[in-house]
Amino acid sequence: MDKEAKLSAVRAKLAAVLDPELDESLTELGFIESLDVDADDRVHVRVRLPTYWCAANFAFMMASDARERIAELPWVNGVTIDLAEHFYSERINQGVQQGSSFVAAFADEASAELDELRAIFRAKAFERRQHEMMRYLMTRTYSPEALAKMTVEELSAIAFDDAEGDRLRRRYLEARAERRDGASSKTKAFVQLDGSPLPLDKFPDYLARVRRSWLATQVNGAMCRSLLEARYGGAKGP
Amino acid sequence: MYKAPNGEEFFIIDGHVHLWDGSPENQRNIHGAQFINCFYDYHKALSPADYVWPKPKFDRYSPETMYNDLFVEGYDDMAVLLPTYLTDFYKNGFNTTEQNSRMKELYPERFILNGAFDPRDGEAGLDYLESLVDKYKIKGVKLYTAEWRGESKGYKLSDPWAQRYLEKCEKLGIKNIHVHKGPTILPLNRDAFDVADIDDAATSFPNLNFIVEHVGLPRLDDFCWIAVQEPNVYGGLAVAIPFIHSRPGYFAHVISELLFWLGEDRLVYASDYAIWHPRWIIEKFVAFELPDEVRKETGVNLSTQAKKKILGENLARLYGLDIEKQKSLLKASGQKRAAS
Repeated sequence: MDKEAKLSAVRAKLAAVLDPELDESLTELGFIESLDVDADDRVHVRVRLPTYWCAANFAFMMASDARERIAELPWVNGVTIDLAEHFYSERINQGVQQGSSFVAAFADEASAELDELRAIFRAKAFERRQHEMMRYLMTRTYSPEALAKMTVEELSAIAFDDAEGDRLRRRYLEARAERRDGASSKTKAFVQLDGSPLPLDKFPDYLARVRRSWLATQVNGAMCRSLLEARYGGAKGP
Repeated sequence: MYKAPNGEEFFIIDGHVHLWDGSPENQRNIHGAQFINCFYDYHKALSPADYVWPKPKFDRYSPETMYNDLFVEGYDDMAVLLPTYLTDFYKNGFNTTEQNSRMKELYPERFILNGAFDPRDGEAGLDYLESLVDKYKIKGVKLYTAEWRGESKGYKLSDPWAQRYLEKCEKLGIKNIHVHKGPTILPLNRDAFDVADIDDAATSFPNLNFIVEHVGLPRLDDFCWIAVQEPNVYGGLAVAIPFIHSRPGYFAHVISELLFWLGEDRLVYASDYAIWHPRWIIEKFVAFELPDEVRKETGVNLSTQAKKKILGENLARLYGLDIEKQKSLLKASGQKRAAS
C-alpha cells in the first residue's frame, strides 16, 4: 500500500466523521487542515474549526471520533489529532491522545459523558434529513398520505431522476435506521421522532416542526462555513 | 430616518450597538485577542466588501466614527447601547456601561443606554446594578451568559442568584432583559447554547421582556419553540439580518420562520455595530421581498408594516418611546448641532 492509498483511506474515514451539530462531515466542512502518514504508519491530522470559541464538547467529539475511525484501519500504527487554535486545544488534544473519556479529560468541568448531547443532535439530524426527503418527494407529487403509508423498502425502491434524490435518501435512511424499529425494511419510512406515525390530521404543524430543525442546521452550517473562510481563507483543505 | 426609493419612511431604532476597546493595549490575555478576532471574522464573513474595515480600526474606533456610521451614513435614528464587560479578557473591560456612557453623554437624544449584571457578583453586584439605575436611569440590561469569571465559564438564568437579580430588576424598573447565549457553560457535557433557562426566566418573570439576541443562534429552532410559549420573549436580529447580503436565500427562510413562530410584533432590528454597518443592512432589508416559494411554505408575508415594526416601532414600545416626539427632539437637536 503506497502513501497515496493510505492517505485516501484516512480521508474516507474522516469523511464519515460528522460535526454532530451541523450533521455534515469534517471533510465536507473543510475542518481538516492537513493530513499526513509518516514512515512508521502513524497518522497526523490537524483539525481547524470556524472559531476559537466553538463549543468544547462538540470539538472533543469530533477529535475523538476522528481518532477512533482512523484507528480502525489495520495498518495504522498510531493517530495524532491536533486541534488548532481553540480555547481548549491543549486539554482536548491531550485527552484524545490518551484515549480518555470526556469526563476524564474534563474532570472538574464535566458531570457526564457526551451520550445525551449526542442523542439530542442525532434527533435534530433525523428531523432535518426527514424534512429534506419529504420536501423532495412532495415536489414530485407524493401526498402526505402516500408518505405516511410508505415503507422503508418502498422508499428504497424509488427510482429518482437525479443524484440529489439518491443523496437525500441515503442520508435519511441512515438516520432512520438509528431510530426505534428503523432497521427493518417493512417499517414505515416516515415516522415521528418517537416512532409514532405521521400525524396526518395535523400535517402542516408537523411539517413546520421538522422544518425548524432543518433550518437551524442549515443556517448554522452556512454561518460556520463563512466563519471558517474568514478565519483561514478560501482553501478547502486536503 | 430612512426614506425608501418609493417614498415610504421608516423610523429606525437599532437594538444592539457597542463602543468597544478590543485593542492589543487593552487585551489582558490570549482570550482577549481571540475574542476580538472572532468578532472580526463575523464582520468579514457577512459584510459587503466595501464595508470591511482594516483590523486596527475594528479593534478600537472613536465616538465620532460611531456617530457618523450610525446616524449620518447609516439611517439609524436611535440606538440601544448594550455592554459586554469581559473584564477577565480586557484590562479596562471590552465594552462596559461606563465606556458606552460616553456616547450617551455626547449624543443624549440618540441613545438608550443599557447596563448589565452578572449573578456571580453576589450582593456587591446588586448594589452595582442599583448604582447604574441611579446614575444612568437604565431601563434595560444586557446579559452575556458565557462570560468567564475566574474559574467560572458562565451561568444560567435559572441559577438562584440570577433569579435574585431579575427580582431586583423588577423592583428597579428595569424592564428589558437582553440575553446573549455564548459558547461556554458548565457542565461542559451540556449544550452550551441551550436556551431553556430563558424559558424558565420568562415564565417566572412575566412582567419583564426577554430580548434574545441573535434570535438564539445557533439554537434558532429551540428559540422559536420557547418564544411560541412565552409572550414576553422577543427576538433580536443581530447576526441573522446580515445574512441578507451574502446568503439572501437563508435570510428569507429565517425571517419567514421567525414571522411564522413569533410574528412581526416581537422581532427587533439590530446591527451589532461595529460588527456590521447599519447602512447596507437597512437598504437591503427595506428592499427585501420574500420569494414566492418561501412565502408559500410558511404562509407569512414581510409587509411594509412588518418592516416598520421590526425596524423601530417594536423597540419604541419596549422602551416607552413616542416616535413622533422623538422625531421632533432629533430635529431640534440636529438644528442646534448645525448652528454650533
